[in-house]
Amino acid sequence: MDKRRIVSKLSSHRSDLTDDSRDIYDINHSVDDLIYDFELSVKSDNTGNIADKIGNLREGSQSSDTNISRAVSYIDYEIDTLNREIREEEEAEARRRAAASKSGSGGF
Amino acid sequence: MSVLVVDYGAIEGLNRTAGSLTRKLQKTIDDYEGIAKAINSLPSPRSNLDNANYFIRKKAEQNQTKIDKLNAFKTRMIGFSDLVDSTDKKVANRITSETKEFKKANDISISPLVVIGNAVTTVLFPWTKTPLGKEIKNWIEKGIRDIKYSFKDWYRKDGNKYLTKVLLGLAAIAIIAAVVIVTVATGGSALALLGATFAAKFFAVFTLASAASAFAYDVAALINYNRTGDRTSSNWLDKKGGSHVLGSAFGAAGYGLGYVLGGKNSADEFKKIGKKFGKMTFSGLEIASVVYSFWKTGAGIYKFAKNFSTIKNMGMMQGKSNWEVLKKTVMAKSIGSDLKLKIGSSGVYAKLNITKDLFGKSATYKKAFFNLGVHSTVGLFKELDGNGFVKGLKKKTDKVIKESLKIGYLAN
Repeated sequence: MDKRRIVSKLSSHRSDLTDDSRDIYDINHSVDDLIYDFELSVKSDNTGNIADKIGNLREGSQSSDTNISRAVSYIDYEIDTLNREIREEEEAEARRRAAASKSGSGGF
Repeated sequence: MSVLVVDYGAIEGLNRTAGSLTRKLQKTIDDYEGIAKAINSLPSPRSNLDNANYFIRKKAEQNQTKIDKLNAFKTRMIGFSDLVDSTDKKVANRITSETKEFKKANDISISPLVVIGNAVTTVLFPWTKTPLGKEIKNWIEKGIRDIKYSFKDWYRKDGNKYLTKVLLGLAAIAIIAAVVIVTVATGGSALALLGATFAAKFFAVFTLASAASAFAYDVAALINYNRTGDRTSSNWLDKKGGSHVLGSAFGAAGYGLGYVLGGKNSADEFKKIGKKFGKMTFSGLEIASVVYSFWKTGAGIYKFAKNFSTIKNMGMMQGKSNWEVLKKTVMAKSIGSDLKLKIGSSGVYAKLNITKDLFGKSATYKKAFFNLGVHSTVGLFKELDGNGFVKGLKKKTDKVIKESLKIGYLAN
């Protein structure tokens, strides 16, 4: 597969990993609803502990999520490496063309 | 102790919300898995993409753990809700049936009982979706904070718990007391006075009292509670049964009767006699009822067989073979004579400590019991006779016994 194509796909996947703000919002909203419903269902002096545990189900921002951050970092390394390789290949191609052009210009 | 309130309707909503959250988390897992799969398909000589996938899958596992916790939570909530509901229904049914019986037996109106069921480890009471929700809501609206103790206090206060049970079966014990006194006093021939079929009724009623023997002990519990205010011992009494049943009831009856007839001194004396009489009578009645049912219908054969060794150990049966015992008990033709035979015979109550207590070890049981029987029944009967109770005995005895019991447990 062409490296540029790989870079393009990786960039897309990277975006998918970091643009889930809508999903996160939905999840956290449901968690809040769950806490509310629980407190409505069961009234007691001892339910605070359970409400806290339900609260732990909330999703943090993706930028603060360790696993997502590390996955994104590795994808970035790969993209950077691929981009460098593309540049090097382009420069090598440019030099090759320049050399070929000079050798073909000699006359009588 | 904290209060726990459960809203069944809200639990249903809670479970729906939990389900919705589960689906949202599952979507994120599916998304992460899709990304990891796509990355995995890209060629690379390096490990960067493998490392990226490792952490993406870790994130997916995190969310799977959250889903697992949610599912466990849902399961527990459903179980909790079911437990609460069934507990609530059981208690409601019990109170409902006791209330109905109480009203039926006594034609007395009582206020609706508020029921507190115990679920989990704390007080639990339902809201509007349960049968007693409205009544319980009234409690809440009155601002009663510690419902459990409030209810327990009510239930146990002034012997309400015991009173309810006592009143439930008061009619039964009154009948038993009346019939036994009459029957024993006249050596069994009083059965004829009360009708040819009374024997069957007598034992049927006795079986009722025996089967519900906890009732008569409730009298003792109530007496005890009124006297001592002590719930622990009253609870203990409340659970008793067996041969103490009529002992306590007759103790109370005797006290009441004596009080009516001769003031406190008589009351104390009658109480002692009544108590001991009751204990002995119970044993005799139990055997007689077993015999009677076996003789008449054969229905009591199981119970008879169960009590056979007990019967055999009675003084009158000692030394006899099984067949002879059977003949003596099963083949007897007259229930009245059976009663007389058992109560008046030698050593029937040999095993009872009471005779030893009364007459000492040296006295023969035959004589001891006979004398006791004579003193207690004749004494009582004389009192009854002297006060004009013999005439119209049945009607008056019912009333006297009822009043005596009432005075007896109140006075105690």
